Amino acid sequence: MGNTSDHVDSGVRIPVVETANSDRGDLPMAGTRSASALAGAVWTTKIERARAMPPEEKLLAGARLFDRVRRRMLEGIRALHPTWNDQQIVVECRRRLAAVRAREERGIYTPVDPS
Amino acid sequence: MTSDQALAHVIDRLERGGVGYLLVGALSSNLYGVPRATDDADVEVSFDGFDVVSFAAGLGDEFRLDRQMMIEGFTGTVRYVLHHEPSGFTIELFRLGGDPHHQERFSRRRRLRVPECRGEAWVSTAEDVVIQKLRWARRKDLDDIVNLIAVSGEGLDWNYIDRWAKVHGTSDLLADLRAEAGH
Repeated sequence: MGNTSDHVDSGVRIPVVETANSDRGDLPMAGTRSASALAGAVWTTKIERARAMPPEEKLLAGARLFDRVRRRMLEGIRALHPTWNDQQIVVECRRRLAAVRAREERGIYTPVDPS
Repeated sequence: MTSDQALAHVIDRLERGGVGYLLVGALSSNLYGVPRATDDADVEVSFDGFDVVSFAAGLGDEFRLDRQMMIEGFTGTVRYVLHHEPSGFTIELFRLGGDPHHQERFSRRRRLRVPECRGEAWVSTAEDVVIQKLRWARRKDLDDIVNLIAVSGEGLDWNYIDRWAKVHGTSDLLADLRAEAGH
């Protein structure tokens, strides 16, 4: 439990809980101490949960989370393009993931000429 | 097969084949930090007697080996990419090369029990995850390092990390990230 103080935002006095990590205020509404405190509290909770997870669960968690993200992407594309068939939706999903990958890998990898 | 099953299948095949390998990248930072979604698994492989084409063919019809090899600019490491078609997940196989840190990282690898793989898997130590991600220093790598230090920082061998950070010229960045993690 951190210290509490008051924060004035648009004339309204809002109680603020300060945590050890309240400087990690990088949420979209960052710029107010309340947002910063919320971000810090969320981050602290994430760290505590990660510490409690068994290592064997954490190793494959990234792949499981990817499957969930991909399912959401497929649903989102289907909602945007209701007339598309399954194949078109999968192709678009693949294209988007490849675009993200290309951005992340830009300047790091170069093709090897087999000759 | 889902992504995690595809990954477990590849690990299982590496184990059964007696291949020298090591799980690195996001898989290993998830292990010591805060798990996040990743669309690929990075596996460093000792290519002594390892035929990547035969290995890929033995994985089954759901897998496809990208014939285009890539080379990574920092360390000159060669990469092969295995695509798991149904899930969109990729497994990247990196050839263990002569990079001094990669050599030491491989020698320090440790065993982790992984029930999904019907046994154990070789994983990177937490220290080596930090050292490697400092070299990459992409936005997601820096977040991974901060999270890893926050979760596992108390048990890290900081002398070992500092030694390699000096070699790689990443000491200042490391200091900034430690401060951000409150360590």
